[in-house]
Amino acid sequence: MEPLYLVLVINLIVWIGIFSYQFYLGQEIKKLKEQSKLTDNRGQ
Amino acid sequence: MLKLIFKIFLFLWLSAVIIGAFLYAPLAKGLGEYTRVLYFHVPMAWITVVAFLMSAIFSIFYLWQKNLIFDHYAVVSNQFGILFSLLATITGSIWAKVSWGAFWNWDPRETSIFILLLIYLAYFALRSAIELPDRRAALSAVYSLLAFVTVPFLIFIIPRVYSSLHPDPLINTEAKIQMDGRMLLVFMGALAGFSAFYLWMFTINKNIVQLRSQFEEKEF
Repeated sequence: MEPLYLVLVINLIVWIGIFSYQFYLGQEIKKLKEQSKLTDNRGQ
Repeated sequence: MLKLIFKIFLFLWLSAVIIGAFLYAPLAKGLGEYTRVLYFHVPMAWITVVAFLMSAIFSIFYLWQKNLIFDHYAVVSNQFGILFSLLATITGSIWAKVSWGAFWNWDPRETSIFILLLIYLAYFALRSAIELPDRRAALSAVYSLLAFVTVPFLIFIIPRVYSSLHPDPLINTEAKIQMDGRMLLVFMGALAGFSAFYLWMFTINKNIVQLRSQFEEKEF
């Protein structure tokens, strides 16, 4: 593989990694927010 | 649903920017293959300014409303500001190594970003030295506002006043944009994409801060 394509592929893999982690983090926070709302409602 | 569409669109957008930077945009004379650093270095520097500006705005809101949540938002913004200024420094150093022969040359542009980093690192040193939350928030907000006063000087004015090896900024001293059309397209795409990505990162951290303060309220 040519070095240019190799660097491009590495860049894309890094970007997919960062995006996936960010996406996962967002989903986890969403779940926590929903749980927090449920707890509040039960408390009331 | 709209949020999911935004995330998918952002993923495709920044993927296209990365591919465009490597395969579509032409190379600049004298920089060769390292031209591509431009599409990552400038957006990092741009987000640094946006993050520090947001911190100053949240600091004003804190001083106005005395709500600790704004202090937390200001902290998150400053953390991102430092992260992105470090990324801008690293990508700039890679460029400097190729263009100027060394990773660090104490060029006015490099010196100004170094001073900026020290100023904002001192913000966290100040915070760690004060225990009372209200006092810490008030002093940090004032410091953050004073720190932001230096940003236009250190990022936009000083590098233009002193002679520098750094290439002309995008909008040069004649207020013209001198860039190949395809380069400009990828560059603007990178600026927009990274800005949107930063806003998403900030929103997630803002939610974390909100959750943390909710849990803290429940504990008391």
